[in-house]
Amino acid sequence: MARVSSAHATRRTMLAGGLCACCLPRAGFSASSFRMQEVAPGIFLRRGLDADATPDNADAIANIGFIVGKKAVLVTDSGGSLPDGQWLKTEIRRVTKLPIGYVVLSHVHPDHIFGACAFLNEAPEFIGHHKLPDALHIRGAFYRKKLSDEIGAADVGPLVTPTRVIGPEGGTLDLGGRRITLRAHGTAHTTCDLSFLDHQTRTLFPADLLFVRRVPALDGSLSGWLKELGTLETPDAVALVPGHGPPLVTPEAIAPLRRYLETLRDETRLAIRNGRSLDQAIDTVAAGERGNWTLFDSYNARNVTEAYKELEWE
Amino acid sequence: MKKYLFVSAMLCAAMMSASAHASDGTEPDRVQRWAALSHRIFGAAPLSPAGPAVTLDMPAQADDAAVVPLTLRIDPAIHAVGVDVIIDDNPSPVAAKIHFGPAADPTLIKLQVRIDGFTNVHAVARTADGRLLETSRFVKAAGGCSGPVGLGGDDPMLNIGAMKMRFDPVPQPDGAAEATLLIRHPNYNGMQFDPVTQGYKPARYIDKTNIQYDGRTVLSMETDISISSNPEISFLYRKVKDGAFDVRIADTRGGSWNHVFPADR
Repeated sequence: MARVSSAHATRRTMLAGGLCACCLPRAGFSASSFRMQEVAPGIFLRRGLDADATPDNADAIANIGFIVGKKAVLVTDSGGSLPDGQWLKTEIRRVTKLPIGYVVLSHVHPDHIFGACAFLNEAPEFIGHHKLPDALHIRGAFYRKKLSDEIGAADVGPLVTPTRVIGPEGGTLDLGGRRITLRAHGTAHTTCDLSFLDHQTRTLFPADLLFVRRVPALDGSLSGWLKELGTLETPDAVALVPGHGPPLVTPEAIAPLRRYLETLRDETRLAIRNGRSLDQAIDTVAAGERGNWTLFDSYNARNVTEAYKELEWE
Repeated sequence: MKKYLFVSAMLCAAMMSASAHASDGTEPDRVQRWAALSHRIFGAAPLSPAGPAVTLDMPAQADDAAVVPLTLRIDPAIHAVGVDVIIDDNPSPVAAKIHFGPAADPTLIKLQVRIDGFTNVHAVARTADGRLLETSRFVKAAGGCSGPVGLGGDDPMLNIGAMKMRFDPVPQPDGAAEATLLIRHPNYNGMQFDPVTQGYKPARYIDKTNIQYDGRTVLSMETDISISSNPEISFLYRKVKDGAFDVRIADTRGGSWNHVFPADR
């Protein structure tokens, strides 16, 4: 235990000193796991680990990155902890000196919002769904405590709330010759999913409305999510950046998620109709999907519980 | 009780750390806790191990701490008149006191509960001849009591008191039928933060449930804040021709609801 925390302190010290995580001999924050790639002109992304938060990985499990315009930088999602956000900021500064004008908080989940505190001194606009402030009020303190237990309190900074919210009418940002349009979705993965489109490259950032290969986590509405998936299939987008999985995919990557969610819906409905109780449904529903997703056993049972409680009132 | 809830609401954050403490508790701590708790609930009456006569099934690790399925099986041969479910380390440990009526079949009962931290869960069956038979399970879960309430982002108060009865089409091996009663109710336990008022939602939970079938009581139940929101209970009954269910529930804020469910098929 003592060895782990001292290794932690070392990493933080080096990060604070401006060294990138890839220089560090840490199992989690290692060169092979954390590489910033320019996946399209001016779009830099880091693939998150297919893992849950641990002290070793500092909750660096979501796909995060940034978009560079002529006048400003937009952070596509902030990361899962203070060191994850600091690492992202360091990576941005290796590429550009432009101001970090915008930090997107894609939804309420910890792996997407706890990196935001690393950007407070840049005074960007923190942008979120109009329901994100409520969700943060309800869950923020709980998530902060839980994450501290998981990765160590020293790596968890203050909770950042949006300084600008996007309503159902949507919103637009200009990074300097680079237009971004934002969309606040109906309840789907969570109650507060925000997506945005970079018009220059026709790249859509649906965050956790799209999981690729990592098993999805249902925390909003199953029927709502299936509905909102339809909005991701738009001729405006030729590429998508999922919240988890490969950092850049084509629209075909939506199909496996739809299949999983439809399987979850259909088999949960069938279990309910056949009088199966929740514990029985948990053991059987979507079991055929096990081989298709990483972390399946960590999330499927929870997804079935959510689906069951939603669908039994149909 | 009211005072306790108030305190629990005010100290929500502190309680989360308290439950983290509980998760660090050792087995001797838990044994000691249960000794004190069972004495408070049952007085000096001795508890004896239930053995196979009473079994309690729960996941060892709960995937959703706010909705943890719990299955009780009681051998009819012990002539149970009721069973209590106690979640030792929850803020208010007694989750449910179930009393079996003349139409009851205690062979199978299912509930869904909230679990705040690592804890033992006890089931204590009360028999007609006054014995108390206990069994327990250790469950790993966290945060189930303060978790958000609601279905798919809907207003949790929507359709409060609505009920549904679901019937298992497959009969039990001995011919009994299984029914599940679903109730729409947020079961606010005083630990859910309200972003509008910047305070905690006042506790409002179902405390009384009575289920009758064909004019006879199947079971009545006193419940507390550990029952999940939108609660459900599964139980067995013996079908009679044209038998109908009559369900009455009441909550701690004076709400009461009565639904009659016609015979299934």
